[in-house]
Amino acid sequence: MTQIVFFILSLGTIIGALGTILCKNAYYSAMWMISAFVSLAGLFVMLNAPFVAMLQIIVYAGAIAILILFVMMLMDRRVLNNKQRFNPQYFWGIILGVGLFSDLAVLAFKFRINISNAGKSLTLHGSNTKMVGDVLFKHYLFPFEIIAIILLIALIGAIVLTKKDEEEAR
Amino acid sequence: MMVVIWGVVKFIVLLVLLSVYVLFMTWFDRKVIARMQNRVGPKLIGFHGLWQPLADTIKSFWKEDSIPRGSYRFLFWLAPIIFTTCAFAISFVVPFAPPIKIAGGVLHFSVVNINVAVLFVFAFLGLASFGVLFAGIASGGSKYPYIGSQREGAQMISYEIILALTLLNPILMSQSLNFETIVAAQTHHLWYAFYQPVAFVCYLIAMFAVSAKVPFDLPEAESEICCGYFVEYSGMKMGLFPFAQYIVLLVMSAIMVLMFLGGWTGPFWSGGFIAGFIWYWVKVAFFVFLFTWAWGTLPRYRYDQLMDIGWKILLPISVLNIFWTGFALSAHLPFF
Repeated sequence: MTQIVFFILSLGTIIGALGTILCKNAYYSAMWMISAFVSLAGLFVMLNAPFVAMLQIIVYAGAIAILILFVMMLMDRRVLNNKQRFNPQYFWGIILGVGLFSDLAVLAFKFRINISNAGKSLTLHGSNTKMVGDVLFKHYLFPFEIIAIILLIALIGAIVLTKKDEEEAR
Repeated sequence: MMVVIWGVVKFIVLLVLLSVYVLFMTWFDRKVIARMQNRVGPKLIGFHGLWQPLADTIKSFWKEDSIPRGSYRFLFWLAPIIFTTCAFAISFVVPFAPPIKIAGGVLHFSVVNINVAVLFVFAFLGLASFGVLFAGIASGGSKYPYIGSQREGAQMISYEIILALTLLNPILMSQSLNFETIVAAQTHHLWYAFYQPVAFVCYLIAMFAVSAKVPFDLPEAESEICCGYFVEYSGMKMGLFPFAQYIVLLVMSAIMVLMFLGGWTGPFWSGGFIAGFIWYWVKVAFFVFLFTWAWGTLPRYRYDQLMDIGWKILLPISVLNIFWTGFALSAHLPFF
């Protein structure tokens, strides 16, 4: 039972990811991306991590995908449809992707991953929301704060780079 | 296996009950607004027009279903399905009656009783807005749906943040993300609305914006963009959008009652299933009525005003409120 669910969810993730890069229409790509995110959240639920799963949907499928769709809606759709799907440097992506895939395949072969274990949760049971909070704010408070400051720097950097000076604009 | 069977039974019952609720909610809306405007409202079919929604449903099932030529057909079909499915999904985690202790366990009146229920609501609220966004995109460059769904996108992003920030206060106070635990925590104290009046008011405003109802119904502003995102839809596909919206409205009211107004507890005559049930639904019905009341009386805000309220007023206030709550809780101030 759990195996079937696991395979459905992982198929959903892979098909969603493939659809994102292979679809001609940018809006369909966005739709496939959202479905990939949602199936990934399902995999997190199977790993007994409902907190991470919900954050996956809220942050990625909710906020980020809405922002991406929003940007696409602000563009002219004729421009969007005539865009080339791949830029001239696509072979770097292919090399990286094939390398990563073969790496994972070799690892899976070497360690003899048992398919019958698919979908079984090997992690702790019960609510882990409290545990995530404890770990973040007690053990790893310093790295957590540094990440927050780095994100803030990125935000301010984005604003500074895109904002035109009043004088310059005239 | 028993859990799965119980889940399916509850799921079907909830599906039927919510459909009936939406059916008669349209009647209720029309009747109340008609009274507010000194009209009679529907009255011909059945007792005071009670069967009018049934007639409307049958009519909209048999209407011609037209799809505009330039539209993305698959997305056009998918949009109302996403919206309705996600709206139903939100209602799965909300308890609709106090839990009963029976032999061998507790009977919960939500389809699933999970530990991250509040986060689940936010997650599927965000996904539901994709239904609206796709409806605008799929209409094939038609102007009004496009504008309407852009507005929905921006409105959803800005007001879901405020919703999350305001609900963080009861979560901090009860240290739980489960609705039943939060209600149980309020039986020891007063209701959280008395501890958190600022969060209560902010949630009330954000609630209207998230469910896109008057005074914040900008995605479908009739007088500006003549129904917004579902202009190109017809028949039952069009009917699914208000359908889902009514469910979101009910769930938002229920969450308001559960988080801030003590759920099924009352100032007097509490305890017991029947008392709890009546208290809970009286409170929820008041907020559902509040939506209709606002619809009949308030004018619509301008779009820039909506964004100003969200980002310049509500967001700083609710962030400061969280700081205050955290300080009060960790310093063990009296009453906290």
